[in-house]
Amino acid sequence: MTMDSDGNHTSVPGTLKKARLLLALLGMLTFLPLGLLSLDYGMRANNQDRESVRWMRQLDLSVPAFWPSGTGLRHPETRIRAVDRRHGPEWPITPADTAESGPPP
Amino acid sequence: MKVLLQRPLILWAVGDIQRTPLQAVLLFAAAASLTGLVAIVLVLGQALSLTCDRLMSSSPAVVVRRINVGGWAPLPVGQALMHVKSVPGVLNPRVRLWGVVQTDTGPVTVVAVPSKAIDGMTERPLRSGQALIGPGLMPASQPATMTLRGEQRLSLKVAGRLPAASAMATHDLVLVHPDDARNLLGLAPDQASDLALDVFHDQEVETLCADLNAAFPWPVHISTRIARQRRCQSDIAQRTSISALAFVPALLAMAFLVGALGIWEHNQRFLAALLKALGWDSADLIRLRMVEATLIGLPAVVCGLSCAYITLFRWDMTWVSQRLFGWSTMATRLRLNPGDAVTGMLLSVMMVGLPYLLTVAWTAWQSVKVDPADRLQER
Repeated sequence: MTMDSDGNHTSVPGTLKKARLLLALLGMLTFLPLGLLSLDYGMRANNQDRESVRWMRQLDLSVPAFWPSGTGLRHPETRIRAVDRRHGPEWPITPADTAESGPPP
Repeated sequence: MKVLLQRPLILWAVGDIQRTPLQAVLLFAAAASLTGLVAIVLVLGQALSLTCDRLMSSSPAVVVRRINVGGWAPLPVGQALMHVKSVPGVLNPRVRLWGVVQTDTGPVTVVAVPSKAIDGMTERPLRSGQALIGPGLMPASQPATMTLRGEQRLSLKVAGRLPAASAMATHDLVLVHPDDARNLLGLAPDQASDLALDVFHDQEVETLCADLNAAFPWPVHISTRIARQRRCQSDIAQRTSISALAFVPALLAMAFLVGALGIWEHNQRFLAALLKALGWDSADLIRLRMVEATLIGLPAVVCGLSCAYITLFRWDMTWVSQRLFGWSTMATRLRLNPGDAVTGMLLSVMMVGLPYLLTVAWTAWQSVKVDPADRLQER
């Protein structure tokens, strides 16, 4: 075993040789995924949805295709306050959205 | 690595981990899965809602639809444009031709596009009798004809597919020639579905709505981008909040983790007493435990975050749209922006890392403050 100028041991004794391997493994488990994630993040952090944004603009679409066609959230312009969509007359009328306008229900 | 190996404390801590490999592996797995679970829950809603916001920022600021007692009514193009141009503050008014029609696999959104509108964006221009379909419609192996059922039944030749990268906007769209769209939607040549327009600033919209209502000689329904965004955001928040239920098992797992650490540390008390008797002080022992915990915890947290990142941001992620948005057919491929993930990821690291390190520090402090002679005699 050798020592540096401060008196610290600088070589690894035989019984701790496996520790070096384990430390390397733990380091790899930390820095390899971190490096790959940073690389991927740098490459596509803000352009992953660029193509979809371009098509949204080109086709003048109101809402992204997260929701299936035919549902109210996919076509919010079809939710018309004048049309009562309650399942029963005893149900309360949903308060109107103040940012939208149209004839009162 | 050399620098680390020259520090005896780190080497000693690695040696300690080696002595209890099973515990270390279990601790690693628990911390990694806990971080991954918390990160998925925290980042999912945030990434979805920010991506949705960004997509909707390209949508028209205001959409005006003509309505009657039964709901929607076709919009006379010439009159609508004439009336809307009289409203100050309206920018770029244009009519849209679109609607929902049935196919054999379910409803799809038909959008009429003049050929020049998509020039350069698709492989070939669109002609009457042809359709360009979204990436989520019809596998490539199926016959190249699509039957649409609206006011009329129309069989269109599939001339091409929209790019897979545009799926978040065009997943189940069918682009058709304006003449075909009118036939499908039952519109005369001088009619359209609605009117889209832009404004200088979104703040102007609310005042503009009243002017727009007054400008048309028939009743209209006005839908604003702000209201659409608000509705979509609230729906996303509602749907993703269900996934917050995962916090229940996550908290339970965290409690188990803390308990296991306490028991482990209790068993280490004899070793701590022995080291103290050999000349180590309390600070050394606490430092040793913290180094051990960091050596296991740091890679575990990084691995957990990586799993969450891959799960949420890989190219062909469909499970979210399938589970959250109720797609029964081929679900939308979401390409969420990793740029929106940083805050959620950091928060999940804090939520798991801080209690973990605090527990280790507390239990280490408990084990070193007893008299080593008593502990050695007990043994």
